[in-house]
Amino acid sequence: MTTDLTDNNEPILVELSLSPGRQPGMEEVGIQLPSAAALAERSTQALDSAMGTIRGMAHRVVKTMQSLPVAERPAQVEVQFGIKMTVEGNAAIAKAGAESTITVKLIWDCRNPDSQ
Amino acid sequence: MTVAPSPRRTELQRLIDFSVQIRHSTTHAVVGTGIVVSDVGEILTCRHVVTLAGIDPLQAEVMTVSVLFPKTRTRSEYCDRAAVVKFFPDHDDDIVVLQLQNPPVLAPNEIAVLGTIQDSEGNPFRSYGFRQLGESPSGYATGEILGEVLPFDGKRLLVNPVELRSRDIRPGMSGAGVLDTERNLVVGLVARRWNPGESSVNDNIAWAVDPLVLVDFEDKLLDLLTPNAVPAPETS
Repeated sequence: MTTDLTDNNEPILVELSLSPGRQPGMEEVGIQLPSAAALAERSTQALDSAMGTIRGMAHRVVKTMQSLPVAERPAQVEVQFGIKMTVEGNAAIAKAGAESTITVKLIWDCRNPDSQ
Repeated sequence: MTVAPSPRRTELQRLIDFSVQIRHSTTHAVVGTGIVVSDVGEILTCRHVVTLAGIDPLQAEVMTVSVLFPKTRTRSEYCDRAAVVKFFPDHDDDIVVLQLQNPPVLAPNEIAVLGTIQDSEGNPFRSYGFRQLGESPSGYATGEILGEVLPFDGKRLLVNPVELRSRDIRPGMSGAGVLDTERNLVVGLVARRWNPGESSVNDNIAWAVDPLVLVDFEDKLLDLLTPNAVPAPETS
């Protein structure tokens, strides 16, 4: 499902995937087509949730690096992860490959005597 | 409206032959399923499907839904518009009758032969509807017709719903025919299911509308109901 979301006059396309994790209950089995307003609302919600996920992940990475002795800290840290956004407007870290959900790359600069 | 012939047949009704897509009135997105029930182009579907198609039955005098006859091995694709001509304004029975504006010439196999749920309890059923599974836009359901149950809480029904046992009912199958494969009659319209969420408890419960409710339209729709069971296919 794809929708336009106007934010600061910039359209943002959000592809929302169906989530199986709905609450149990009786449901009619026609196909509910979300209104444009509902799609925009869910897109906003999903984006906000995604930004929160990014912020939380960055914060934890920084805290983890800061917990290392200065001499052992890498010069660069690169973290890759995917975010899945559901039609309910939630965001979650997605499984990107066969096994990994998060890829972490640490680089030490051997020319820097403080990093080794 | 004509009475559907019910000669002794040796072939099970093919759901795909008389099932049509009910589409949104303006976007033409598929919202559910319907079954053709007469040679003049009358179609049964669920009332909530029509609502999802953007039509309020109470104000549907000039509004129409889009109907698509998908291409099958016996017919070409055909599109038409249909208006709601019968529904229950004072009850919650989830069924309406649509009338095609320009019905195509329909062969006997393209018209469902209806029955009622009576005498179908405990029988196996087969259904077919327009649920999307990956790149497949339609599919079948199988299961067991458990029988009549009490009305849903808060609903005012003329005829009690029918409980089905099946794990195959998915969104898009509302309005799909429930074919009793022993009696060879379409004895219900799929309408609801229990969504188990992430649980496996009650993941095989669904509900259908009994066509018996058609008698409350008090017209010749009653004739559509086959009084006697159509013999099931003979096995060799």
